[in-house]
Amino acid sequence: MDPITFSIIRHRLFRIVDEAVITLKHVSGSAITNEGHDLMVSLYRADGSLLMGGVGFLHHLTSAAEACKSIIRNFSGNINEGDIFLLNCPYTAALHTSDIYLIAPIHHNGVLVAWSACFVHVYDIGAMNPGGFSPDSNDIFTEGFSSPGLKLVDKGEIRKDIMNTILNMVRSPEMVALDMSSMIACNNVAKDRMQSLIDKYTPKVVDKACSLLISQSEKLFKERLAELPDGCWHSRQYFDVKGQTFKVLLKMSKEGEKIVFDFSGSSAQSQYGINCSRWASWGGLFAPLFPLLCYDITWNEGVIRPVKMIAPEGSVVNATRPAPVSIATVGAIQAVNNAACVCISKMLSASDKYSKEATAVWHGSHFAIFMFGKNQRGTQSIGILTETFGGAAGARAIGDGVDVGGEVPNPISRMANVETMEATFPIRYLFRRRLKDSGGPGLHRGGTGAEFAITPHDAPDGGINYVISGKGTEYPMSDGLGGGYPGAPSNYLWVKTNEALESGVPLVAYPNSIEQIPGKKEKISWGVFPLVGLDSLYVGWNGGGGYGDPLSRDCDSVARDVKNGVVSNVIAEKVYGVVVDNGKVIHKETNFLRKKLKRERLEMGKINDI
Amino acid sequence: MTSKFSATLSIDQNGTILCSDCEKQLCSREEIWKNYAIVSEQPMERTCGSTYTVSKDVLLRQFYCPECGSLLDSEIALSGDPFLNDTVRG
Repeated sequence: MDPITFSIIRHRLFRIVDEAVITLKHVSGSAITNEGHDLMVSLYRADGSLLMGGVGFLHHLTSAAEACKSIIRNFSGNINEGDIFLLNCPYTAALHTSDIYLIAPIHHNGVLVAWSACFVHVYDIGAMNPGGFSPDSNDIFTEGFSSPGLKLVDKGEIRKDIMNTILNMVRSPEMVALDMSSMIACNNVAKDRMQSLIDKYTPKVVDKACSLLISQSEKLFKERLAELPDGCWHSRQYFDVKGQTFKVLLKMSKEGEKIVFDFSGSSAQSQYGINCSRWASWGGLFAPLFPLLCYDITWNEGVIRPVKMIAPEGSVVNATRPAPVSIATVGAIQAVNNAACVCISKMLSASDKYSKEATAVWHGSHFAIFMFGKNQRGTQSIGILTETFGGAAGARAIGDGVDVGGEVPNPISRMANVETMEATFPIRYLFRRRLKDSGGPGLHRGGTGAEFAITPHDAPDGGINYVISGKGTEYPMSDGLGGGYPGAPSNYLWVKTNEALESGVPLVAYPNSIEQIPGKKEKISWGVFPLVGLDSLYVGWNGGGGYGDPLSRDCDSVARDVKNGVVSNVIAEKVYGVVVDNGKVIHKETNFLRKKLKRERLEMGKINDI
Repeated sequence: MTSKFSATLSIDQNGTILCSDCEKQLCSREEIWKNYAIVSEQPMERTCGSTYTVSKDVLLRQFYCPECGSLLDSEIALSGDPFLNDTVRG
């Protein structure tokens, strides 16, 4: 095929996805979509295989392919031009019920030529707890509306019976309707642009280009795998839920042009919704694989072919129905993301050519806090605190992680301004800033997470409630690399100022740190809690993992971190071996301290003493 | 002439794993290099400070070069967890 035509069509496919994402955001009214970018749009071949993976949460790219294939199987003979299908069953293809896939066949002159698929995390899905993450649910039946596939739009007409049934089952139906409209519009734009492309270049040429694009990705990915060393790499993720500990174990084997991800040994499935289905784990391992190994290769079916996965049935990474999975995306899937990121980066580190691409884990643990209740306008608000999308970059082989620098599985995630959140919910921020000592120490420091506290403000009901399904408080999840320390874990505190005032503790008008907020500080992580009166919710979120030996870190960089308030003097001395005074390195004491710490290392442990 | 084994280790033409900082020979590639490193296990909070307030069972396991004391690898572990033993076949 003419390489120029091929290149033009390839870039047009990128642009189609980009334009569809813009449409999705323009129509959607929710912060989780517009600010958090908890979304995805991709294009698929007529048989449902991934053609052009888009941006957004990358663990959806392969799951939506399975969704397309499921629709093809179940609606054979009844897939028409103008149709749009809905699928959100986690045991069919979706990740959890609140991430709804809308999937549209794309026809040209009556022939099915492709599919577009997108998702947003809808405002609500009718689970036990508002917002979709449902810590009180112990089975899939209580996690809200769930469909293995239905026709929402029939030949261009929205089926009102279906739409009304869905909206009848959710909280804030007007916002869920807007979510649905945004996805319908997104698919319409993708379909229109794809049809224009085919009009211009003919179905035969576009089909040929798409086929070549997949072959090209497969060829390039296999070549890259062949360049990387053969071997086996391991990682281990722990996470905690209500006093129970779960683990995800990964052994990644690479030989020649094949790579296998084996999760044998991972914990049995849980009674809590942190489990994920097989398709979710499959997507989870691709979320770091696409950007780390295929940053210059089109993300499509060709990348998927050389990859195999072993996920034991009945485990947290391949739960069996009716196990709950509503928190999968920030539970087992995220642990799979992290574990895969570690193993892939270890393999990259073993390559002379690609070692600079290695990275420690970014933002190992989302905190999914959904607020719900009456807002300052007297209507109901449900929504996530988007700070969880702010993330924290892991340190890389080439430099520090970016503070509050996002996450690997979603390259476009970000968080809303304080003002946006205060306009959405009846709350006031007491402070929001980078969290000192949260970035994993190393030759290159992990990016910091951040901390904030909120209190009710102008709330008709005196406050608001929130659902929290946090983990990563008892075990750090942002692993370091090459000796780098893990990023700090997350921390959630309910500050009980109401009680403190009753016992005579004076109120602080404008507290700007957790220490200044009066009241008992109760550690929380799971369930539904009130935020009323003068009480506060404090969140400190995890930092990124560090890379390399912190005793080798440039002393001036440590001094800069201390001066900027992201590393304390205590950690500068204890972990980095750098003495800083007034923002400057005290070289004589630093040299002495670093030698002393190295000596202690040699003395503190013995070979094989464990 | 060496090639990379990990971010902190190299491997020479004879298949011996070396510390990349000081070139101390640890073992052959067929063996578990971590068995030849100095190992320390400490509670996470004691090592990393107050932002790492986690379960007391959580350990930061660190592996040091027995020659120069360079930090070669770190693992989060519970007591008794096996080492994460990576192998590179070249």
